[in-house]
Amino acid sequence: MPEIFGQLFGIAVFASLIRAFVPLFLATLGGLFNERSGIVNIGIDGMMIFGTWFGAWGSLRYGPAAGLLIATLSGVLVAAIHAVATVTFRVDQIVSGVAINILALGVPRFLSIVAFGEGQEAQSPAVRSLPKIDLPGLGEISPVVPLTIVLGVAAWWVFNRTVLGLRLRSAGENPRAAESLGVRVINMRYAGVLISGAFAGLAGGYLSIELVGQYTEGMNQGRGFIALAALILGNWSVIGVAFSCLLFAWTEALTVYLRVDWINNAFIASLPYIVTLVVLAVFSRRVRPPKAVGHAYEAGSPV
Amino acid sequence: MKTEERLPAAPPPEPERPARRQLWAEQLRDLGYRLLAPAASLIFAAVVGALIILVVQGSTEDVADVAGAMWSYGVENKDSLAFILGRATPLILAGLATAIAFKAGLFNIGVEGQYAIGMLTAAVVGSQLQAPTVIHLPLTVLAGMAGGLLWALIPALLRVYRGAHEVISTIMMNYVASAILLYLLAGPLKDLNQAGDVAQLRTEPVQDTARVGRMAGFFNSLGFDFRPSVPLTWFLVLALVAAVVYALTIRRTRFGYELRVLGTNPRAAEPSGIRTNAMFMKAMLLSGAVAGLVGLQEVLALEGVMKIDYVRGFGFAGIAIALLGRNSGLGIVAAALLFAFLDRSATGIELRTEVPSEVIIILQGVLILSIVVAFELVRRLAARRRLQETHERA
Repeated sequence: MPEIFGQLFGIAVFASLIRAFVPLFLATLGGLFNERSGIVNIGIDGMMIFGTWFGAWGSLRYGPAAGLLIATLSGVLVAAIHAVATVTFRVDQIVSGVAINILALGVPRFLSIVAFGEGQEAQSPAVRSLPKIDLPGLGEISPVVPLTIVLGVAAWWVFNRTVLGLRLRSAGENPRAAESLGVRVINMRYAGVLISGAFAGLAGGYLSIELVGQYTEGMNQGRGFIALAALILGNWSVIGVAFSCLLFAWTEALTVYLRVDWINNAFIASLPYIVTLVVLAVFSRRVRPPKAVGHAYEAGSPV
Repeated sequence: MKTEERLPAAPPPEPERPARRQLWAEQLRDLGYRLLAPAASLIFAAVVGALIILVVQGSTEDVADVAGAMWSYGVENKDSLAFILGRATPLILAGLATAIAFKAGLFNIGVEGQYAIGMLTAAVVGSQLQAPTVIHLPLTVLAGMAGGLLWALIPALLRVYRGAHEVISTIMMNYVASAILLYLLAGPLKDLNQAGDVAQLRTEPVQDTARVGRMAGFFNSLGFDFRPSVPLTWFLVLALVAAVVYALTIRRTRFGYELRVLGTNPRAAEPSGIRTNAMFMKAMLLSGAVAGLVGLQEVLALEGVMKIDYVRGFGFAGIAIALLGRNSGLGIVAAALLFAFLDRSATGIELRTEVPSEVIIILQGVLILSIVVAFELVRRLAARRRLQETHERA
């Protein structure tokens, strides 16, 4: 039994948990921005995938720091498509997000062939990572780990202590009332979606540059969708999603370390997805999403 | 007399019945509006595709090359039609599966996993059962549908009883499906006569009594000249019949009506006597069952086994096709043919040009985004026209 205990809570699991936590938490923070502004972003997963590709490409060409920046910008660029489609043209937000995810299945393949050569459609060459920070007890960690924590604190501060945060939340709760008080709902929603893209892109960049050191097709493994579940479990608050991401990151870490005779490996591999399903089943009705999330808003419309 | 006096006065309960000719003109214009959006987005996608090639390759010659290759492989080649029809078969079924859920206002993003499980269950029944064709083949097809249905059951239950959004849950089911598939094909269901690496993992072959034939012979007897090996099978007939049944069900039956009410105005559904939860269940399960048919052409006709590297992506293409075809039976068939044509011409681009054939995947992605935007713009245009006309009448 002590062996199992080590596999569940050991230091190796903890280190692995942190590595899994970073991209998930970043993506979930992004999701917090778009959903609190009133826009659903199913395309987070696709934006992360773009981030993984552009991160690897950027690191290859201009070094890891620039790579992370390029990954972030690529997320913003893809998010801009989603913002134009959903905020300006008011098309169904889920449809637009799904379209972005489908684009993310094809575009990186195309780009890989163009950038890395024929036969390289599914992966990039190895790319350089940022120099690691040595932390006593935990070993070497990526500088993106502390950056993530800083960004998390910053997000909490923006949402709860700034005018921008208040306006952003009002756009997602009651856009009409917000507009009548002078909040530019359209701008707030654009901001929410673009910030979301930045976080998702950075999360993708962390995956390819820092965690793996290479882009490979499918490396994101649906983290963007798990982020959406983390949002629900965290009840759309920064502190809430920090804890829910810890839970999901832990299940992901377990897929690496948990090896038990009487549990099938296929089951362990699908643990993050099964836990997500269970979380959805238990919490979907107990939480309170932003009131106006998913509803298109037309500025100045009478209804 | 009375009615004539009442009608011109302010808001009439029913619009004045237009003359028949006017009705025709309106219908024609409606049709124009309906075709405007797909046409505009097709042109837009083609322009984006051309621009991408221009940016990447830097010469207009490449654009011409790609167009030429698409023409010669997609249209000119004598086997093209067979390839396109064969490819359209699973695409039609995937589009229908997605559309059934769409009609009820549900997003079944899980067609991808549902058809994988359907292939597996069909392969098991097809290879393990001993029975004459009349029993074996229908049972095998039903097994495929049951597999897809089973995989849609969990998201359906979670949605109805636990309020879990089906987009996330169906995606999660996709990932669980691939893990289970890998496990079963590498272990319990592995064909022990096969040796080799992971890519070779497969079930035992489906028996002859559960196989479905190719269709080249039939077409050739009609005067076509297809190679006998073209991947065109009798599943095409199944897909077309499914499209017709779908269209009739949506338009002519009570179930179809309730589905439409639920999809267009969920709040009005319950007060008008529609049991929404039961309808959600039925729509999702039916969607899953049809999804279970998507991969059967490969298992029962083309390959005769379920392989770990089966053709993926039909589920996601199905979403695009349902959107493009506006969830109508005819529209889905047309959109599936378009996607099949694009897939076929990708082969031409691969073989004939310097441009990566993945440009076609980008084209398909752009098409989805531009089609939803185009439909929205056309809807606004039509609404504005209607408003104008109402003003003029008043």
